[in-house]
Amino acid sequence: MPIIEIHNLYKTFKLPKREVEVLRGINLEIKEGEFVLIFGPSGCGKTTLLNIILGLEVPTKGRVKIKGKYLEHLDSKERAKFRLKNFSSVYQNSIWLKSLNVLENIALPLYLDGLGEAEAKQKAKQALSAVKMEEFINSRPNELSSGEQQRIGVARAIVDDAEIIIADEPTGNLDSKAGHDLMRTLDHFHKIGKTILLVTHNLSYLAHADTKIAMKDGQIIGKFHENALPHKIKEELEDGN
Amino acid sequence: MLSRKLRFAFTLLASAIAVGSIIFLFSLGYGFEKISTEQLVKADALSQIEATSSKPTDTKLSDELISQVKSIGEVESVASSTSLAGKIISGDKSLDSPFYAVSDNYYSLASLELSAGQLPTQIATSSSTPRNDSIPVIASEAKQSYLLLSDKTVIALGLNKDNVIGQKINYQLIVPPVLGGSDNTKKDFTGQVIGTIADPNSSFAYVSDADAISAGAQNRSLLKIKAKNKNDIPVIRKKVEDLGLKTSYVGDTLEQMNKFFNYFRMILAGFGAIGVIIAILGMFNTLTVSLMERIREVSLLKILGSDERTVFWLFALESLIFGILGFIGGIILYFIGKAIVMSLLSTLANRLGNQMVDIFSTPASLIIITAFATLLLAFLTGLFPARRALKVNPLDVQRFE
Repeated sequence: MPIIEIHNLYKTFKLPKREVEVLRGINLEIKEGEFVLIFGPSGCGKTTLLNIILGLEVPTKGRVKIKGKYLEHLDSKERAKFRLKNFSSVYQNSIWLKSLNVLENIALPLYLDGLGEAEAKQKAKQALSAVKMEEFINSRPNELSSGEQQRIGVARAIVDDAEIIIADEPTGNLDSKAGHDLMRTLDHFHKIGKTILLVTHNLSYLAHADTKIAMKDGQIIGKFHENALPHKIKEELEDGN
Repeated sequence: MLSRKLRFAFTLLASAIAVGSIIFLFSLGYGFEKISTEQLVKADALSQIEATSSKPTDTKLSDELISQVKSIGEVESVASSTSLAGKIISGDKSLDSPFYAVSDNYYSLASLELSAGQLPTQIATSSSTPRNDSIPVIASEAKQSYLLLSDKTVIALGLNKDNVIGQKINYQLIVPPVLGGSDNTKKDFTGQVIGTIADPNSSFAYVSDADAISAGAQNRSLLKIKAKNKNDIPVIRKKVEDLGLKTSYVGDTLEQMNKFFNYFRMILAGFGAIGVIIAILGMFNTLTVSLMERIREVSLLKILGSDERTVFWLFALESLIFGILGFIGGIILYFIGKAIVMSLLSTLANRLGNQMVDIFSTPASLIIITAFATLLLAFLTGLFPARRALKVNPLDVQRFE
């Protein structure tokens, strides 16, 4: 059963002197518990697609249905609540509340959801344990390395047990070892039933995902399940570069 | 981090100075007003008017005219005073002094403050009541010819303030023609000093109006007219003025003073407003810089699913905290400033031998209004950064990153 359904999605940004059509007729279905990897050249619309799925951006045309709910039926406040309940996100650069320590930063989504401090910290400790970072419980996130920060970011993403994890270039700032560590962490959450939507430039991660989606110029140019990049898609991606 | 704390501290200090200076200036204004008003409205002054001859050569304050004033239905009582020149002689010292020859009921209408002794109206009753041994005994017949001397007169005559009461002193009254004397009639008297008036700055003496009459005065200089009801003052003034007299009323002065103090307060408010504007700009700058510094944090909260109200109150609360701490700091600064000024005034008063007067008056309403206005202004100042925080697009922050 699809957890995310996207029909004929368009997104146009209006700039002072021109309009930029970033997404052009995207159709996509992602099943519950599926690990989907989206790749493509810079500016092809990957991040915009993620942001529309998160409800942070409103589409110009088309429909987005998440867990049976059409996002266009929700106002910004309802979308924020929906995001809090159903999504977790990891970004290339982790953002932290500087005044909070690692444990409190991980517990932040739970605080926002109205959970009590003791229970929130208990869950945060469990999440920290899941990414094997217990020793940094009282550190400030900014004192940690990029790789460690990303793992803490994953802990924050899984702390509220949201069903869908959105990861936008999470390994972009990491060395290859730290990147592979992070991918193994995502694999772990995929195995326990989380739906993962990963955007990356790094094609060496293709094997981690069930479904791979190639994007170019705001459109999906291919969808495949093999661990190697199909020749036809490779040619199409290289065409015009 | 240190620069953030310093910025916060300086902004707070600016707010506290603004609040403190507003309360300080207004308290000073209210204090001056209170002192002036209290001086004016002593002794039931608002139910009295004073009447003098508009042209002494035409209308004279004669016994007949006084009877006409007394017969006005709304009038409760009339007291008279005759201003005379004269001389006080004590031993080998002689002092030229103004004299006020007044009727007995004058003292109940005027606000004379005695530094020692008694009023003539108190003598009759005091002789039949037990007395404190420290107060010299005044013969009841002294009421016939008595003297009330100002403190300065006592000093000028070289008399001892502590034992002047009860002393017999010679004095001379000079009645000018306008009061009925023929070519400055002079008459000598011997009277007993029955009291001293608390006035260290002016030389004068009060005597009985019987002395003035005895010296040949046929007219009075001034009438104090007490109304049965304060609301009848305009009617009485009209009737008295119809008799050819000129009237004055302390209420007129009060009205003028109120106008003056309204302007005074506006000027003080202007000065205070400059401080407030500077504080608001400082607070606005601090909150805006704070937003810029925390834009990534705002972005994070929005991405995580924080509702707009949480983000708004994050900044609105910060401005309210500025307001609350600024107000508390302002109150503390006000009391420090007041203590410094009062200490300086106290030193000055001690040196000059004057009584210390509190020149500050801080009504509770001033504190409440200032507190309310501070919080309101702080909230309004924080509104813009808070609304800007709402408009932060987390995606712009990501794209920038």
